[in-house]
This record gives sequence, structure tokens and C-alpha cells, in this order.
Amino acid sequence: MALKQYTWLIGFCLTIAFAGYSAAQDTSPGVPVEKLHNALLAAMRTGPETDCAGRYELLLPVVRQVFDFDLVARLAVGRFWRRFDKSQRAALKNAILDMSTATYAQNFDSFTGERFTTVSVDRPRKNKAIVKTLLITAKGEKVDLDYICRLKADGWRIVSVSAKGVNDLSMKRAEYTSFLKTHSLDEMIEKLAKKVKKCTRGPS
Amino acid sequence: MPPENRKKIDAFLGAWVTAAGRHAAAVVVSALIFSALVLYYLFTGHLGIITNDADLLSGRLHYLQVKRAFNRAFPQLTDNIVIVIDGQTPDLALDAREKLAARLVSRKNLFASVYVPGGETFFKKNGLLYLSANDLQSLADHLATVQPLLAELIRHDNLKGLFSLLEQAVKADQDAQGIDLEPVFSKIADAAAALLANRFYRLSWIALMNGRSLKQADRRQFIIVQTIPDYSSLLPGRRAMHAIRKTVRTLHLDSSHGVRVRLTGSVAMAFEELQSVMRGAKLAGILSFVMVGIVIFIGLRSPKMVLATVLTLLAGLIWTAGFAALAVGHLNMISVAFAVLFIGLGVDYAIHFCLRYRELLQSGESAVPAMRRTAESVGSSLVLCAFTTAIGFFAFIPTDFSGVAELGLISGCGMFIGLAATLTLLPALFSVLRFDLPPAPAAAAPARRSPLAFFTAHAKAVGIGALIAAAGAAALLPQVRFDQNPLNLRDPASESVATFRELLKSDNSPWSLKVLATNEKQAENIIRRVKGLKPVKRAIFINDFVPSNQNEKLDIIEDLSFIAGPVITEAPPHQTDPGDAARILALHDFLKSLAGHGHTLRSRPAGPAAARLADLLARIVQHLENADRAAAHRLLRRFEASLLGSLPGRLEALRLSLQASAFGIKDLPHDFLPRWKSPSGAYRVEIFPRGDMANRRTRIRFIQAVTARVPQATGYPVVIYEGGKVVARSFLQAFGYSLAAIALLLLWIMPQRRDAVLVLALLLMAGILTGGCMAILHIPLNFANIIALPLILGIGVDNGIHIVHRFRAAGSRTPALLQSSTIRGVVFSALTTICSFGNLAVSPHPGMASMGQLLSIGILASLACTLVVLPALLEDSRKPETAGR
Repeated sequence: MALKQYTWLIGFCLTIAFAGYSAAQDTSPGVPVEKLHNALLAAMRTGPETDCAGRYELLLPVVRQVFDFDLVARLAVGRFWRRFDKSQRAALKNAILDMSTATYAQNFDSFTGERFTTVSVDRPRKNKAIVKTLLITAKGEKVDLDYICRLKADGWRIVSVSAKGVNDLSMKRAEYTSFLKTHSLDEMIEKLAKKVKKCTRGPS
Repeated sequence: MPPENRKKIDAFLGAWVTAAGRHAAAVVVSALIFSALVLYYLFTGHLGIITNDADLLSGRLHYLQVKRAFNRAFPQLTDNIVIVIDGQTPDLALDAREKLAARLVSRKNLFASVYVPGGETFFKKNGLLYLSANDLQSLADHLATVQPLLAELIRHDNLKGLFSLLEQAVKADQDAQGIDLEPVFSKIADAAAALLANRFYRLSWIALMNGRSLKQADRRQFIIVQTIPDYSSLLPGRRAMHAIRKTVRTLHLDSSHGVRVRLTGSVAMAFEELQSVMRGAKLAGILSFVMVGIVIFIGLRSPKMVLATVLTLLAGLIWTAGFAALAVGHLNMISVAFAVLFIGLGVDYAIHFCLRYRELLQSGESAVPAMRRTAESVGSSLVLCAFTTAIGFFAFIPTDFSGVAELGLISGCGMFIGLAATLTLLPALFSVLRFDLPPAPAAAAPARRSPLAFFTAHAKAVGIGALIAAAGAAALLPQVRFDQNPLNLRDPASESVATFRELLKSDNSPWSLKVLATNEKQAENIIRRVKGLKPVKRAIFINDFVPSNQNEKLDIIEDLSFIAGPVITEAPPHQTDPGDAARILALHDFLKSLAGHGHTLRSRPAGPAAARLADLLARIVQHLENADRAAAHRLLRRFEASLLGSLPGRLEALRLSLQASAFGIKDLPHDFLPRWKSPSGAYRVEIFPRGDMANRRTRIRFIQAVTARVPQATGYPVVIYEGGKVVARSFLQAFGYSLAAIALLLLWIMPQRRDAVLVLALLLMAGILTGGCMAILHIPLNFANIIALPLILGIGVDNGIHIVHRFRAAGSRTPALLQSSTIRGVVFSALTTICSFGNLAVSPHPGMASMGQLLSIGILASLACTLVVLPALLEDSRKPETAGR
């Protein structure tokens, strides 16, 4: 074999191996879920010292990384997605990202002995997984948290969270599609932003 | 016919009858043995009954061949029982269908196939692909709003879960957030009201989960069962139908469980038609026998004579049935009437014979010579009458209407058999029974003037009156219509027919037109040709069962499964039963929350529903508190079943439907595909009509529009349309044949040409009068009674023959005619005929009833013409020959 082709072949194999290596980081659907849970625990633990804005800053990069907001945004507005152009869609996606992070920051504000356990990981399809976890409080109460994850090019991402069976994605869809029937996208983004402002500007 | 020949025939008949009388015992015994043999032959299955009305017309006809070709390609579409399931709610109909289909599928020995339209797992999985992308988005939107409700109900599927959920909803004032509580409250209130009234109720989750309003069609489901034809049974389809009805009863699929199951389809309709025909025929047969017996008793006045006549009639009937078994092998829905026709007509020979015999005995003759002279005087008339009546029957044999042709053959030959019995067995029985009659006292009372003398006295007026009546009736003739819908011949009260009529008005008319296309391109062509036509609702073939835009839709369906969440897409989690106390507590708490939020609720759309619900629930809670533990437990469980009973089935359906995947024609289920594409590669195109096909105009418009573009269309509507044309043609042919044959016969036999013309003219007049009566009484011609008109020719002419023959024999003197036994004979034979046909007229089978009505009217018309007009015209015709009275 000529030298040129030989080096090409080696380079090809190395690329594959490298890609495989980084993919191996996220081969388990449980990984993003664990990352999220760890970040939430960390946010809770910072409780007394930080306010909502601080927790928001802490959680934002993780939430951005583990969730698939492209899909979340499309699913949340249904048939309205078609009407939005690229920049509108990007704006919506960011608004939802910010709002979700702010919600987490507000709800997970102090640590009193909670822990998360992963109960099962199912893959009903090649690119879809259901991760069942439990949030166990110090008193021993258990809350089911089920995550639906989707396998994207760069790994698994969370699409929806169901607490006690109630799916947050459904609630978003119901709320947003009904709102968009009588309001514009900008108004909705503004509404979402209000929630974020409550966290980043208001008291903890 | 030269008089010498006539005399020779008379002499022969006289000799025959005398011989029968002399060897009476031998004749009677051999008649008995012969009858027994024939009965044995009949009851060992040589005479079947066929019920397929499409077989009533000749198989040579082109449109029937097209139909047969189609049936060969798609045999699953024939011999079906269609099970129609109607539920109070769509949920109930679906659940009932699942249960029933599962049971029926296991009975492989009874059913060739059990097909559930839309019920295959394949369609349950991929059903969502048939919705438009827009509808799917709407479904996703709606599912999003009810997802929290469903999630809670799945995890706690009991009353506690439900009412805790509702309590939360009220407290959170979810109405304000766009979740519509009004339908939920309203439906639960309905369930509560039904519980208090001890009525059956199931809350429909389909309505709540789909979010759109429901149509009647949504509450109806079908199962199509193809039977294994059981030709050995007299009632094919009986076993299958009994099995289905028994299964329905075992599964409690009845109105007290919110479901109604009915059977229709070709097998069911044929079965119930046969039942109604047999019911009617049995009753009619017995009644006509009894009534005829009474009439001849009044006419003949001697029990021995009546007995002899009845026995002769019975023997003739048996022998005719034997002939039917030998010559044809089966009876169809029309030829079953032969028995009644035979009784009514066959007895006439005996009546004329007996009355003449009695007349001769009373005038002093002794038995044996009187017998001979009876045969010599009425014998030839009877033979002529047998021929004319038989001609009326035989006239249908050369036509394509094989159903009536068979009746014609059987009844026509029956006339000769009846005559033979009358001339052979009757004299023998008189001899054996030692029938005797004292002669009438010498000084007979002066003969009373016959009431009919009135008409002969005013002959001219009668003649003119008759012409006016005939003209009037002729004017009405165009109003007589032909009803070519065999459905109208069936008992409308029977379940199969009533259900079928309902289906004809629905969106999925069973009377669609079908076309056999040799390849895909031809199928597409056909659809293109008929699609835009106004009477056509839609035209489909197998490609229409593969939805378009599958990839786009599959994306939305995947979105649906994300929105539904694992709680719905996965199997339900294990639960512990909270117990009765927890349930009652949940009810209490919910009521409290309603009361507490009363002021906010009142102003919302859900306000009135909430108030009604609160009231009803309070009453239920009171019942629970007053009842003992066992009763309270039962009440709670009933309430729970009524509210949540339909939910598991719907969740399972939703779960399945989220598993949709892309498919093409070759992926279609294996019992579905052959119904639309035959193994040889032929395609079925189905063309559905707009409107009710039981309506004649709608039906003809549809047929004509489609066949103009697609001449090879077949299907039941085309079959009966073409069939109607064939029958009308056959009728005209038959009428023509019989009229011509009878006219020739009369002209040949009757000594005076003038007499023959007179009889024929009156015959025609009787026919016109009958037509006029039909127009006035709105009785249509149809497949069943079409035989009546040529028959009336053949029967009606008999009266004329007897009258004229007697008139001439009596020296052309009208008074003698009017006093003679012949008049009595004509009256009584007409009465017996009407008694037998009249009983047909009250049959529950509309087809047989119309035959009876038409024949009765025809006989009456003929009687009127013969008794009123004929003597008058005969009297009138005398005038030039005599020098006045």
C-alpha cells in the first residue's frame, strides 16, 4: 500500500476511535440524569449562602447540557413551531432553558437530607430511553421522577420529566399552545422571562 | 274441434270413471300405497328449500356472470352474517366487540372466518396514521391537557384517586387555566344519577380523551362472520346464528349492560325470511285447508262427499310434491306457494264433478249411470280447464325467471295430477264410501229465480256498464308500478331486515357497487371515472388503506408518546387497594372542596355541572352512611365500575396506537389484504352511494350514473336492477304466450267461434279490472306476485269455459243456465280459490302476501265478469237466433 493511503487509513481509524471515546462518555442514558441530580444536590447544599440568582448561575450550564431543548421547544408549542423562523426558534429555546433553570433554582433551595436513586433504565427503542428514579426525602417520602431521554449525535439528552406520573412537557404544551392562540411569541417569551427575573432579581 | 272427436273424448272419460268405480277397492289401496311411497321419498331429503334470491333468475344472464366472476375473486364477501354492535358509549361497543370476537374466533368448526373491520392489532397500532397531520396535532394538544388527569388515574385507579384528583383540580381553580372541568363534572353527575336510579351506566373515556363530540357511528362496531354452508340442513345458517346468539347471551351483551347486538347480512336475512315463509306457509296451509273444507261442505252438503273430496285433494297434493322432488329437486321462496295454489285450484275439479253428480242423482238417475254421465258432461270441460290453467303456469318456463318457472312447472303439472286424482280416486272413493242420495221429491218447489237473472234481464245496460268500467280501469293501468327491491318482499319487522334498512341509511351502506379490476392501473382509472359523480359518496381500493405522509405523521405520533409520558406508554404500576373508608373519605373531601369553592365555581362554565354533581354525590354519601358495610361496599364498587370500567381498554388502545410504524400494501394484515386484492392479483374497487339505497329513485340514479362510466360494475343494487328488467321482460313474454296459447286452444276446442271470442274478451276485461284495482289500492307488482297475472288468465278462463259449455248444453237458454249446478260450481270453486289465496294474503312475508292479494283480486274480478257480464252477453247473443222470448 502506498504511504499516502496508509496514513489516510490510520487517520481514519483514529478518528473513529476518538469519536467513539467521546461518545462513550454519554453511552448510558442515565448519565445526563445523574449529572442533573448531582447539580441539583450541589445547588441545594449551597442553600444558606446563595440566593436564587446564585443557584441559577450554578445550574444553568448543566441544564443547558443535559436537556434537549430543541425538541422540548418544538413539542411545547406544537403546530406553532412551523410559523417561527430560525431566530424566533432560538429565542424560544433560550427562554425555555432560562425558565426551566429558574424553576429548578427556586424549588431546590435547601438541603435537608434528600437523595436521588436511579431505579431502572429502559431502552424501548434504539434512540429512546426511560430512566426511572426516586427522590427520597429525609423523612423517607418517595417521589417518582421519570425521565424520557433521546439519543442525539452528541449523546443522550433529557426530553421530559414526569413527577408522580404528571409530565411537565404536557403541562408546557397545554399552557403554551393555549396561550399562543391569543398572544404572540414575543408576549410569551416575555411571560417566561418574568419568571426568570423573579429569580435573578428578586430575593432568594 | 270436430264434434265427433269431442264425443269420443267424452265417452273415454265416462268409461274411465266407470272402471274406477268398479275396481274401487283396488284403486283406493294402490293410491294409498303410492302416496306412502311418495311421502317416504319426500322425507328422505329429496326436496330441499333454497333461499338465495339471486338464484331466482337464470344463470345464463350476463350480469349474473359478472357477479359470479367477482364472487370467485373475493369469496370472503359472500355468505356473511354481519353482527352489528351498538353501545351506549363507544367504549362499550368496542369492549363488547373484543369479547365477542375472541369467543367466536375459537369456534373454528362453525365459522369459515371471523373478520373484525379495524379490529386487527395492525390497525390498532397504526390507526393514528389515518388521521390528518392537523388532527394529530390537535390530538396531541388535547392529550397534553388531560395527561395529568390520566397520570393520576392510572396510578390510583379507584374512587379515591379520582376524587382526590378532582379535589385538587377544584382547589387549584384549574378551570381558570383552560382545563375544561364541565364535561368531567357533567359525566360523573350522569353516572351518579344512574347509580341512584339503579340504572346501568359507563362513563365514556373516549369522549374525554379525544376531546371531540361523538356521532352515532362511533358507537357502532361490526363483526363479519363467514359461515360454512350447511347444505344438509333445511335451514342453512341456523347453527351459526344460534351459536352467535348463545354466545351473546353468555357474555351478557344486552341492554342491561349498555349494549345491543343484532344480526343481519345475507345469511341472516335468508334465514329469517325462510322462517317467516314457513311460519306463514304452515298457517296458510292449515287455514286454507280448513276454510276450503268448510266451503265445500256448504256447497256439497254431504259429509261423505266432503270426505272423498278432501282425501282426493290430499293425495293430489302429495303426488304433486313428489313430482316437484323428482322434476326440480328443491323449492325456492316462490315455489313454496305451490301447496296453497294446488289446494285452491285442484279442488275445483272435484267441486264441478261432485255438483254435477249430485244434480244427476237428484234427478233420479242411479249411481253408476250418473257417474258415467257426469264424466261425459263435465269431463271435457275439466280437461280443457286443466290445460288452460296449466298454460298460465307453464308460460313462465321459457323465460329467464327460473324461480317462477319452477313454480310454473310444479303447479302446472299439479293441475293434471289433480285432474287425474279427481277422475280416478274420487269415483273410487264414492264407491267405497257407498255414497248415495235419495232423489228429490217429484213435486219440486218452483225454481226460485236466480238473483243473477236481474243482470240477464238488463243485458244491454250490463254490457255498457262493463265497457265503462273497463275503460276506467284501463286509464288507471299506467299507475301500476313494479317494485324491484327484494328487500320489500321480506318481513320488515324481522331483526335482520330492520337492521339492514338502518345500515342502508348510514355512511357505510352495504349496498355499494363493486368492480373487479385486473390490475392497479385499471382500478385507479375506474376510481377516477366515478369520483366526481354526484350520487357517488366515495370510491376506494386497497391503496387508500395506505395513508400518505406517513413520515410526517410518525413524527407527530412520536411527539405524542413524549407528551403522554412513561406513565401511559409503560405498563401500569402495581397498586394497593386503599379500602372503602378511604374512598368514602375522598368523596367527603371532594364535596367539601366543591362547597368551599362554590362562589368561584358558580361564575365559571363548570358552575351548573358542579352544582348538580354536588347534589347527587351528597345523596350517594347519605346512602353509603345509612347502608350496612356489605351494601356500602357493593354500592362503592358499582360506582367505581361505572366511572372507571371503560378506562383500561382505552388506555391499552392508546398505548398500542403510539407504537405506529410505517407500512405499505404488503404489510397489511393477512385476513384483510385478500378482501381487497385477490391472490391472482385482481383488485376490488368499492363505490359507495350517497343517500338511502332503499329509496328507488336514489338507487336508480346511483346505478345509472356509475354503470354509464363503469359498465362492468356489479353488486346487489345492479343485480336487482337488471333482475327487475329481466322479470318485467319475462312477465310480458309469459303473458303473451299464455294469451296466445289460450286463445288458440279455445278457438280450436269450442264449437262456436263466437263463444271463444266472448270468453277471451271477458278474460281481458277481468285482467284490466284487476290492474285498475291494483292502481287504486297501491299494490305494486314485484318478483313474487308477477306470476299472478298470467295465472289469472289461466284460472279465470275456466269459469267462462264452464258457463258457455253448460249454456250450449242447456239449449242456449239462460234461465236453465242460471239454475244449473254449473253456476254453483263456478261460485264455489271461486270461493275455494279465494279462501286459499286469501290466506296467503295475510302471511307475514310481504312477498307471499302480495301474491295472495293479487290472485284474490284477480279471481274476484274474473268471477264478477263471468257471473254478471257473461250470461248477459250470452243472452244478448241469442237474440238474432230466436224469435224473441
